[in-house]
Order: sequence, then C-alpha cells, then structure tokens
Amino acid sequence: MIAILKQTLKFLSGRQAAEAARSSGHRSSRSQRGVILVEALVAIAIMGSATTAMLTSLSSGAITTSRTALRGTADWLATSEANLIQEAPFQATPGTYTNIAPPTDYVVTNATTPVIGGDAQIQTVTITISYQGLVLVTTEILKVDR
Amino acid sequence: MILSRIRDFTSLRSATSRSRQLGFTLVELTAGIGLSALIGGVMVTAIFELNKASVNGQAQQAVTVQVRAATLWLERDISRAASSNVPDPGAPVATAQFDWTDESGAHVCIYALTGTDLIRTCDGTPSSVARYISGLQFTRSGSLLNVGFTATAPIGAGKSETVSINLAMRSG
Repeated sequence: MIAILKQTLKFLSGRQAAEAARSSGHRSSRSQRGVILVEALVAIAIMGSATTAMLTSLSSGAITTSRTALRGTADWLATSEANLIQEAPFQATPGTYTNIAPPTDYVVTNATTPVIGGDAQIQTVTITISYQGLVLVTTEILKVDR
Repeated sequence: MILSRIRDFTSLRSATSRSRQLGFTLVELTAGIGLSALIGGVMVTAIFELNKASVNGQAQQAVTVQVRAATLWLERDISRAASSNVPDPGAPVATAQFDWTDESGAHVCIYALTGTDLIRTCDGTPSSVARYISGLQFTRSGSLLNVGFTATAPIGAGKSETVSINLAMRSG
C-alpha cells in the first residue's frame, strides 16, 4: 500500500513538474512519461510478488492441516491392520493377510518377508497405508507361528 | 487488453496537443476504475475463500484431535484387558467393560457415551477422554475387538471422521 502511495505521489509531482516545465518552455515531458511507465511496472511487480508470498504462506497452513488429518487416519488404519494380522492364522512366507476395509480413497496393503537369520515360523509383515496413491504410513510388525 | 490500452494511451498522447495531456481522459479514468473494481473483486473473493479454508482447517483439526485421543485410550485399555463383557459372537454393544489384573491389583474400565462425550470410567473414576463422538459400538471376534465411532466437528459444515479400528485384547 505504501508503494502505491509513493508511486501516486511521484506520478502527481512528476506531472506538476512537467506542467511547470512546459509553461516555462523546457522540453522534459517526453522523458517524464517513460519514467512513469517504468515506475508503474515496478510497483505492479512489487505488489504482485508481495501478494503471491502472502497467499502462499496462508495456503501452506491449510495444506499442513489436511496432511495432519490424513496422517491421523492412516495411523489408526495401520494399528487396526496390525492387530487384525496379529490375530489371524499364520500364513507361510511369502504370503499376504486379509486386509481391513479402509475408508474411501485409502488403500491398505500388506506383504510378508522372511526374517534374516530366522526360520519359517517367523516373518516380517510390512503394512502400507496410502491415500490416492500417496503413501502415508509404512510400518513393519513381526509375526510368529505359535 | 491492458497492453492495447497502454498503446492507445501513448499514441493519443503523441498525436494530440499538449493541453489535452493535462489530467485524465474519460476513457483512461473508466479503464482505471474498471481495473480497480476487477482487482478488488478478486481480492474480496480470495479473502472469503481463505476464511472458509481456515474454518475447514479448524474443523479438521478438531476431528483429528478427538479421534486420536479416543483411539489412544481405547488402545491402552483394550491391550491390557484379559476379559470383556462384549458378547462373542454377538450384536454390537454401545457400552463395553474391560477387566484385568496387574501388579497394582484388579481393574475395571467401562467405556460409554454421555451425550457426545466419550466417558472412560476406570475403577469408579469417570473422565471424559474425547468429545464430539457419536455412534460408539463394540463388536467382538475372539480376542479381537472392533470399535466403531464417528467424530463430528462442532464448527464447519459437519466435517467428520468415521473410525472402525481393530484392537486386540491380551489373550488369556
């Protein structure tokens, strides 16, 4: 706003100077016009960048909030999936367990891998929770056949 | 549009006499007011949108916080529970009791809704662990308990999250 006021003042004073110059017979009005255009462009550029910076910082807050919400949902989905798998009958590696039914747009998957140095009665189960293709949570649990 | 206006503006200036250059012409003034109105309109719309986004964000935040609080307490107590009154198998129930014994003695925790408050009553002491909760129900399958509820924000256009979480009780 200050920039605009300054530009307006300059513009007006420039005009007055040009007027005065004209009445006294000098020829400086042509160069005055060029400066005013450049000044206006600079003012527009400053205003534009300031507004962009302000809007960017405001929208980043909204993005953070929605990410937190997605992450929160993904957390309880992962807990639910892990508990379901721990209570399910043991599946030989490599195999998968029945998944929980996630809310719309969420995808829950699990995969088993052998534990290094372990036997056939222990496995690592990797649980992945994604939202519209974006992976939100990846967690691993150990499952034993007992 | 703006560029052509500037071109008109400069050609007009060089073509006309000096006396006409003093002050704004009607066309210039109209264009200026038009542009100001356009920018003002866009700015006002943007501010209203931001305000809406802010309210939505607060509602989302409220829901997330309540869901987290509810699931943390339920997870804590159910993972310790050795037995529960939830029928296995059976229809969903709205009130659940969990019992266990540890080094500090026997414990009884009851979860139920009072209005939209999730009340956890442990060893006779009630406390509200989450707000804005509705539709609480417990279903059991062996040692696996499914807890379902909905958290709805008090602000915003009914922003809510429906939770259905599996929690395992301590076996035996």
